[in-house]
Amino acid sequence: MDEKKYYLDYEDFQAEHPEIDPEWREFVEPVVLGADDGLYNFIVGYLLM
Amino acid sequence: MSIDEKLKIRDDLLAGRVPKRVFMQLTFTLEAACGLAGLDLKRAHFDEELRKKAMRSICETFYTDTYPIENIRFPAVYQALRAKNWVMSSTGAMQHPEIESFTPDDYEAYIKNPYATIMESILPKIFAGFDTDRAHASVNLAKAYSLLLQTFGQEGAFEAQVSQEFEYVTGFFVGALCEAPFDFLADQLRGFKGITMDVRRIPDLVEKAAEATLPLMLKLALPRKVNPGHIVFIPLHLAPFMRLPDFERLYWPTFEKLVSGISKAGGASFLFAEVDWTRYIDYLAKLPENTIIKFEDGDAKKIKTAIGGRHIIGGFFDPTITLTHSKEECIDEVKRLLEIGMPGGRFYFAFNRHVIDINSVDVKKLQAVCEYVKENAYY
Repeated sequence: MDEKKYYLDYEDFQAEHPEIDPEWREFVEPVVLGADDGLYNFIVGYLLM
Repeated sequence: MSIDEKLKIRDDLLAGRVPKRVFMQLTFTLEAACGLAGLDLKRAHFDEELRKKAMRSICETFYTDTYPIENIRFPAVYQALRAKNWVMSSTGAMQHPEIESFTPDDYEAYIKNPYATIMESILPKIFAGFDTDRAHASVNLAKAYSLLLQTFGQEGAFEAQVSQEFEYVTGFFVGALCEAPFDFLADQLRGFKGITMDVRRIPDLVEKAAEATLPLMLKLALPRKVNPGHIVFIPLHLAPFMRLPDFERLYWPTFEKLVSGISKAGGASFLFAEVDWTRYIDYLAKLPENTIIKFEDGDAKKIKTAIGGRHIIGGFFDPTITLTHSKEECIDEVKRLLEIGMPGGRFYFAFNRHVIDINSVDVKKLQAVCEYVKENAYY
């Protein structure tokens, strides 16, 4: 399992990937599942409840 | 009563002040609404106009201060993912079968990284739509999420429309939804049977897994910015089935941290104490002041005495007694509950469970119960 694939907060992702310009956040965030609150709430708060 | 007066009642209740009248938050499901309106539930799930017609019939039949329908289990979403955890019955009711998506061997990986374990291991076991190549899994996720947003949008628009028409005020379902960490682990990951064995055989791992789940639940409960009036709904499941030492070690610590964390962030918790929590009342007393707790069963008098001066309580009234008791006896039961709950405020009127099947109640007697509270539960 790739432990670095999923981040609960975008800030954690950014801290580990300073090379990614914050201006790209809107493109990166949706694929960092969990950092996107809507998808996180859907997966953990709807599908698994 | 004007909408401003109802809002004042709600504000007073939530602030711990004695309101003008007992606040009423009564809830029916889409299943009950279709039963009342004589509509086909299976068709209504997929037909917005039928759902509106059904839900409107509840609004027209029963008085309550808040929007009275709960409909959150959308079959299209679960079917798009070929879900095993929520499936439709032959009548169209959405049911949650016992499932196990997580074995005792999975604890260590989950404790180390719960979210990655959910994404990589748990989701594909529950949803066949995720148990495929990444491209198809992504498309299935997009379809399901899109269906969720679309259906919630339809439900929200209808709620806004009838809330204006029937002068409903906001109830307590206004913020977020999460679970006690132990319940999250038990409900759909280990299942009732699995967690019951784990509690006895591998309590150390269960304890660590509950701790690992806490941040996931806090993230669900709290948005980045917590606005005033943020209320988090937390239905409580497994505790009544546990022994006290197991509850004290495995259930309570992370649950208390969750509720305290919500409170420290400026939110409030709305708990649904399912089954009977009377034996845990001293624990509930320790939660932050003005926690809202709806009780399914239990000793109302003992509970009011123990926590009625600290928390906001409701529930207890079983609407199915309308089938077996006369109208007068039903109203006597309401009077008994009001006499127990009203002194000092911090009490609201709610059914102990949502009305799921309209055939489980006598509509006319239940109408009389609602009217009685509306007309008589004044301070």
